[in-house]
Amino acid sequence: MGSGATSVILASVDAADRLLTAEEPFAGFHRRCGGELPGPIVTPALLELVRKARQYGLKLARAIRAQDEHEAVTMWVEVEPLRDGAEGPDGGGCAIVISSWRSEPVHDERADAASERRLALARHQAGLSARLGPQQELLAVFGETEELGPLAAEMRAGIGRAWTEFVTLAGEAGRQSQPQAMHWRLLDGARVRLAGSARGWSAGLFPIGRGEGGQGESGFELHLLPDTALPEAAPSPPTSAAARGSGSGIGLEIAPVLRQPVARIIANAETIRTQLAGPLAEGYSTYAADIAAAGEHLLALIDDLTTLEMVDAAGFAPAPDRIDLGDLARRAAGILGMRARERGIVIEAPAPDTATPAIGEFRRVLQILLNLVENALRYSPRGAQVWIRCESRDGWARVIVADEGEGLDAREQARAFEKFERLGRSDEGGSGLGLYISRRLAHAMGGTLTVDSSKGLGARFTLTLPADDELAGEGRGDR
Amino acid sequence: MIEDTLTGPAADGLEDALRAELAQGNRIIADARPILRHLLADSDVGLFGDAVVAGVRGMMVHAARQLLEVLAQEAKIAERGEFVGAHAGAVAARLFAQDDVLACAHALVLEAELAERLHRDSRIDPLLPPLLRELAGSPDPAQAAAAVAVLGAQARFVQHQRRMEWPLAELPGELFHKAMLVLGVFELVPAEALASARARLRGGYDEGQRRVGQITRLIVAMGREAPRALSLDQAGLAIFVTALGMASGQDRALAVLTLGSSQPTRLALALRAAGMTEDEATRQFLYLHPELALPAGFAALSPERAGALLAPPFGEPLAAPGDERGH
Repeated sequence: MGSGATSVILASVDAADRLLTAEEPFAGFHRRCGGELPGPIVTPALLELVRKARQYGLKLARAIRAQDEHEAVTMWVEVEPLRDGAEGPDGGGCAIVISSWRSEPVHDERADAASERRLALARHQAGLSARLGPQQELLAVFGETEELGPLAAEMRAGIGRAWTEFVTLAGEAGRQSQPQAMHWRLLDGARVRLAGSARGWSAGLFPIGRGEGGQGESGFELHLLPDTALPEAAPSPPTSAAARGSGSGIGLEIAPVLRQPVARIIANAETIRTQLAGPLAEGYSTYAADIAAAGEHLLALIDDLTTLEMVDAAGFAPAPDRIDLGDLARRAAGILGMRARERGIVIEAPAPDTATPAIGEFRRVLQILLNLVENALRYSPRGAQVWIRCESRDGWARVIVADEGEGLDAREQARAFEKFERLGRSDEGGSGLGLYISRRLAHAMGGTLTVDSSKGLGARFTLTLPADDELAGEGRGDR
Repeated sequence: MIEDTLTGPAADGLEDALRAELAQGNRIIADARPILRHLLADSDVGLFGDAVVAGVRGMMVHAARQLLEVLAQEAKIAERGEFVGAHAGAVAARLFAQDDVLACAHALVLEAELAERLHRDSRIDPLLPPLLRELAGSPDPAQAAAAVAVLGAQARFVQHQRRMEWPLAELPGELFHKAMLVLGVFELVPAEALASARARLRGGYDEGQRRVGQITRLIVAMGREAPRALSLDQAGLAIFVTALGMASGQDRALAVLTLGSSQPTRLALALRAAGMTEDEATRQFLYLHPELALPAGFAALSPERAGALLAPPFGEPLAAPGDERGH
């Protein structure tokens, strides 16, 4: 028996779900989870129960489990909506009676292993993912399904703000900003409503790294997980396509329909491959890996088609910003470093202390560099090197990606930037759209993308963008 | 004798209407065969047995009658019996049109049936299993009181099931709320009467007093001893299946279905997710599937993995029984 199992703990909340009074040990738990007294309820399951009780006008009673960093708490909770005066069941506060309070220390090791597996599943199932900082502020948003496209755009516009500002925590009447200090453990698993989606979602929060400052010191991974994988998720009509005034609409119309089933194929194949569902003969695991790889390829193709549609649209204009080509080159090298190592290829990126200021859109330039480096890896033999160099001269900043592959003859160079051009290759990988898209992007940012090569001597792709003279003038070194 | 026959556009319209009705009739006939074949061929006969279907229908009508009774009283209808009888079928149909209401009733009927079978075949006491007897005599007054409350609730449950009844007080909060909404659909009485009927029904409801609530409360009150509830012969079916749902993170209604003859894999996963060792799980398996062994690789699967497999979206049936926990 845990201590205090026979005693009763009383608490009360007001109409706005703020905890007004609470007895120990609940009050202490509430504070350790980042709550204040009086202040908003920070235990998601309790919050949900209180809101239901008020909405239904019913006295509800449930077992609730909650966890902070150090203890896991089990309790029996009864919530009674107070019907005072004319307020009726929709207004007013609630009385809470907690019994059988039991707290146990968290078993870290087991929780870690479990959380790792949960993370693997969450990554596959997420309808939208984000990287968060230590204060749960948005740093990057990625991997959204078409359904959550508008939400992702909104989040990207609000980088630096708390992710909870962009979702509605379960039962909440309207979108309102959440207390930033809410402990991640209490948001992990919380049910959320997302703008533009009719289904229910839950949030998965995973701390990155474990420092002495506690979990989450280095930030979090956020994955928004759908309750149900709807068979045919009604994709929101491609309003974005209309807004952009795009041409044929093929990519933007097909993409949402294809993306989900393909993503599910990959997720399931990955589940089989990683033997999450149990031990498996190696042959099958390999097949599953093939299925996943083919799925990834399809997904990449869908992405390319969508981008193609966008860059071909009349009104397409990137958002220019001050960027550092050196930094972007190092990022691209970092992102593809794993793939390079798998193929025994060394990527030589610009030295960390060098900067090559330019004007362009960060995301688009990174996209071009990733495409160039990916190509270089694809066409290089094992054990080769790929160089990324930066320079600035005459008001232009350049980044050059050079490889030791077969190289291109003059005719191939002329065709390399055409749509669906794969230069006679028929193996997996590459849609034949990457270079076409990259060049379109470069042009849209006022730059160029050229190739310089001869057969047997590798290829050098050069992205040229307007230099950021103001910064370059400060004398910060190029390479 | 010459009959009048319609010609021209009027005849076309009539024929169109008749054709549409015929088509609808055809669909029903066509649908009936696969359903019938499914009923005949289904290996898990228990899931759709005659008694089960009758039980579910009886529970729905009983729930509908209770709603209508209060409605009639608040509307001061003189012929209450007539009023209730006239509308019970329609309200019941509306109730079982709700997936989660249907799933909950279905699970209760299956639970009662399984409890009877376990009593007959394995001498598992449906009312006072050893664990409950022990807790009822516990020095901890909270435990003892909770145990006695469960005993009473369990006795009432057995009686209700025999009579195919479903007291409204036994509905989980979400479903009770749905019943309140269903009541408003029919516009059988003036709005004030409906409002006061709802207020009266809501005021009398206390989720903690449900049988499942009492059992959950008892398991929570057991604290560290709670895993003892995961033993069919010691805890009895009702407590076992509640604990299994809690420990494996499944809805209780789904946990009941897990025990059916067509779901040995789901059961094995749930037992593992609840943290059982191979030996413990084998013992539970024996009561439910004496002819089957645990799936190979049971011990190799960690409880977390088993739990992950049971979690949505992979682990739950497409039309999940209810979207809320605690049915």
